[in-house]
Amino acid sequence: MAAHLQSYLAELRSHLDLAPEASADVVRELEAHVEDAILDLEAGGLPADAAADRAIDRLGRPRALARQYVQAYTTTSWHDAAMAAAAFLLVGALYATHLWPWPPAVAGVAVVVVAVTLVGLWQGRPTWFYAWAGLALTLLSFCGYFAFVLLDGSADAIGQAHFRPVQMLGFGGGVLYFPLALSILASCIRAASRRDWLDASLMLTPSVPVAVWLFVLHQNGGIRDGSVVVPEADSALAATFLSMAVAAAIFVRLRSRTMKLATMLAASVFVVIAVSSAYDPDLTFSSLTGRSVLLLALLFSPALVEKLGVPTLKPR
Amino acid sequence: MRNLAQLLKGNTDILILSLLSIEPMYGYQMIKELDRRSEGLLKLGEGTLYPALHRLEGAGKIKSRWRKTPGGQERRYYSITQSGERQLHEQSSAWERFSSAVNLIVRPT
Repeated sequence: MAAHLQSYLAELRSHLDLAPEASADVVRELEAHVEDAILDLEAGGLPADAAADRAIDRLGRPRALARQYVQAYTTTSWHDAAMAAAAFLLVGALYATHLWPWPPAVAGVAVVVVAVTLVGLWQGRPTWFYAWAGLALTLLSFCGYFAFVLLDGSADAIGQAHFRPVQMLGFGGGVLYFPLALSILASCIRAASRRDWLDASLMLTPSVPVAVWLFVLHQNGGIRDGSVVVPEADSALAATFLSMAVAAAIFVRLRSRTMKLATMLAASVFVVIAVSSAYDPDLTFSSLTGRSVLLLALLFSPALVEKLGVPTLKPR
Repeated sequence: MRNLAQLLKGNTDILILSLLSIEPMYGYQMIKELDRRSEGLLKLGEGTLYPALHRLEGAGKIKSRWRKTPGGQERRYYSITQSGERQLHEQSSAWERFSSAVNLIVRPT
């Protein structure tokens, strides 16, 4: 009996194109169901082996059942795709209209992003949630930039022994910020990876162009002056977020995890090429390859988190 | 019987939500309860029930967590959410109106 059931479940699992945790949950639930069905059939007078065979037969063919599960788990709508794309379009519009230096515009977008993220969290993390959560996490990059500037300025003053107490506080705050921000980011990646590391990767995507943009502007005199020295930065970022909006919509609508992975890979390479061309036209092939590898390593880090056996949701 | 099976397929969601509005249940318990309450007329298959449960959970209409049954086994219990309650109310109202309309035609007074 046990061998028959395990053979059935193994075949079912082989056809389940779902995240490992989801597949494990499906198998575990069906196994429990068959146990209950066998007990009922045995109570009705059936011998153990016959009860097991009948309970397993009632499940139907493994491939057909797996197909229904995949459809149920990956059902998304054009509404979900539009919601995911809207996240990137909103931020892209900020750069396309050159409104990002205007505090009310930035504050308005930040409030919308955080509010929609919280709504998504309350609704149980629908498929579009990770696009908005990723944008909310870019606030960490912005705060990190200001913490870095604060740290830089305070360190200079402390180094020259011309500092005020508030600069010590600024230095301390700057030092404390980075481990705090990293732990928040790590927690978010772990939480997202529990369901599917692909969702966590989608969540990480907006942080990269924002971090690169901040770096390029800082190299060119800071956020205000840098945007004047590198005027094409706004257009490059707007185009990046537009392409990410398209990629996110496709990603959300796709059922196959392999195709989701392919979409993410293609979009990532495109973003690296597009952004590098805008900021660094003399970029060599080896530098471009290096940047692509770094980006892919970041985007696939949630897969490593999952492989290393991140504690998943376990029953009490 | 085929007609009943077809009707059952098209009304799985309202049946699941109705059961869960009574109390949290796990999958096998729902199949048994549905069979009992319908006096044996409605038999929901495993291949229909579990994918429907996961689809409803993905849509935020129900939620689940693993916990022990009174007998000590670990089972995945499902419970209805506020969004699910609203959908149940809407679908129940729609069903009442529909069945009244059909009865007016099929069994005219």
